[in-house]
Amino acid sequence: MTIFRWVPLILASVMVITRIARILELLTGPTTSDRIVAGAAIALIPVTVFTGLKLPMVANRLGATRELGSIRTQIAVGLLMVLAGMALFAPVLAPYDPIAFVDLTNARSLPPSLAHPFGTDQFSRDLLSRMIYGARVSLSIAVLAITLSITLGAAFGMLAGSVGGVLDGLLMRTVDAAVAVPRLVLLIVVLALWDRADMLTIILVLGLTGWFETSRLARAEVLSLRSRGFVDAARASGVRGVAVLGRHILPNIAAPLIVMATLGVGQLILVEAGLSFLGLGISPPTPSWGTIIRDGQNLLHTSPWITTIPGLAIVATVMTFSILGESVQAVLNPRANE
Amino acid sequence: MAGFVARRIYQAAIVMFAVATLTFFLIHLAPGDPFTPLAESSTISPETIQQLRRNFGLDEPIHVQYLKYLQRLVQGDLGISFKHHRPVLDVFRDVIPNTILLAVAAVFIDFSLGIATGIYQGTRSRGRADTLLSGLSLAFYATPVFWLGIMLILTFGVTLRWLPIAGATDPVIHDSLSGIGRLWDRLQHLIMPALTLGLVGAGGTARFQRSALIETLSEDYIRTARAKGLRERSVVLVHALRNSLLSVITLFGLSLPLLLSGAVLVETVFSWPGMGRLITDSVSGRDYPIVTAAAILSAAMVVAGSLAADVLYQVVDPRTRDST
Repeated sequence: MTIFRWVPLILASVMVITRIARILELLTGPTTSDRIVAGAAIALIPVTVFTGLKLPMVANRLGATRELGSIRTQIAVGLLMVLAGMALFAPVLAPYDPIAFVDLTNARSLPPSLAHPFGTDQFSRDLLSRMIYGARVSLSIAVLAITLSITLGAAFGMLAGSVGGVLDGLLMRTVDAAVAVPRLVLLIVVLALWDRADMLTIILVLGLTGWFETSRLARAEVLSLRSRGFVDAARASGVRGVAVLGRHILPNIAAPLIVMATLGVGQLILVEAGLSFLGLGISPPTPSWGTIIRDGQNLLHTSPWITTIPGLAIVATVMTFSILGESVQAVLNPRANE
Repeated sequence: MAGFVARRIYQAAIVMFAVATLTFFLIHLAPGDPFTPLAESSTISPETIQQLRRNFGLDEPIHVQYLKYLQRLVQGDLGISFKHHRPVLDVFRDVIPNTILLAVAAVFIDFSLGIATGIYQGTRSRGRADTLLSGLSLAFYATPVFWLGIMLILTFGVTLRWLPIAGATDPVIHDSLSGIGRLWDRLQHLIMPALTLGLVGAGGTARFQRSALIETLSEDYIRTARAKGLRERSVVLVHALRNSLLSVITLFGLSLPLLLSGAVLVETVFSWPGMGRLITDSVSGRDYPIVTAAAILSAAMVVAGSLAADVLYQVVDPRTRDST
């Protein structure tokens, strides 16, 4: 537990001290988003001091103290902080521009070295910078898409469960059909006709094709909770339909939804990587981990590191979210494991 | 039992109808149609485009198109491939056996390795070997399947040169080989794709089997079996395993969509001449009928698989038999 009081602060301080020149450059730079990121980087030190002080109290209130003591969870939370840091502070951390060609004559497909810790790709772009920005792209796609899916799934599931009748039947038959088509094939059907996919398209398509399982869960929970005493009590005291769903049913299904969302981030990173690998993901030159693997595949014989590094990053990230999912499950539903 | 099967087949038919409808509307939701890129190029006259649209019935109102599509579908007519200029069903008939071969081999690796690992871990839960294997199965579970394929190619194809890296057979010498030689050639080409798909699946199966076995081992009848002095070996392999395998049948039904999604990627990595590669090839050529048919046929495989799993469950678990 105590390590969470110091590790974030140390990581933040190391980042600010080693990249201070870059932060100042960004602060005085022309782009607003860069200025915000640089400001946030400086603000990060006091923020980590504050959260470090408050953490034991918050953890205690959430009932997470014991879970945060396990080494598995500590490693997963640590990796999550590194990943989130990379995604948020990509402009501060990346040593080069992720899409600029550094030197097309001399610096193509260089092996890892001090100047380029992960080497360069076939267009002489710095791979470390592309990996850092790739974390930003891959993670934000996964997190935003899962938020959309879980929201839609919860809404549709609760609607189907509480309304019943024809609408319920129609929604659930649609879900039956949608889960029968393998996810990747379904995505190919949807994406096949778009020429270029930007980030918003990918997020929408992934989010809109990911809510089916959630809606089944939400519907089943509504059906089993509907006849319980506290729901009857709420109805009897005059609470209306939608309010019953929002105030009495939703809090009861929030725990499985949060677990589903945590595990879902990892799965979506895999799906997004697969799509990018097939050339149906985000359009080049924007780096996502999947597109970097795709780029590197042609150079497998001569520069295997281009393919290897992003793959390892994906494995580590998906493992992180799987372990986090289990930890969240243990915190929210302590009886499930025993 | 017969009633259950009949009801389940009826449900499967409804799902397939819904899949067909969903696919149709998904395709028509997208902006433009297959001839939009042609229309944008200046070399083809608008009249030709109009003629093409008429030939494929794309100029009719959408509900007419939908009804005609359903009518043809029921007759097993999935249209003509734009790229291959052959009936879509014929194109798929050439590649589906390859996908089934790959899937069967992968499922074999997945379940034999996953179940064995899960049993080994379940009987030694919380020991050092269990922790190590849990980490390993989680790692495989978290591995992008196409990347694992590339890594195997890098190791066994490029560096060690033990195995061929692409295709289902050797393009040059296969036809001149003897019977056994051909079989060996096929096997060599199958190993890496099947291993890739199987290992990723085995990660999940092992995790599942481990917890299923641990749960079964805490049941009362296991305590009884131990109390009457049975060896631990037969307690686990005879009493516990049989019951924990029941949930693995369910897992098989549930893992089929994932398996086919994985096959699309693995076939692309290894240039395996199956359904998955046909799909990805068709996307770049905007081969509408193939993409539509791929969704319907892969859903049909999933639906048939889960139907088989449900029926098998009924056969294996006597408790569910009376209730139907």
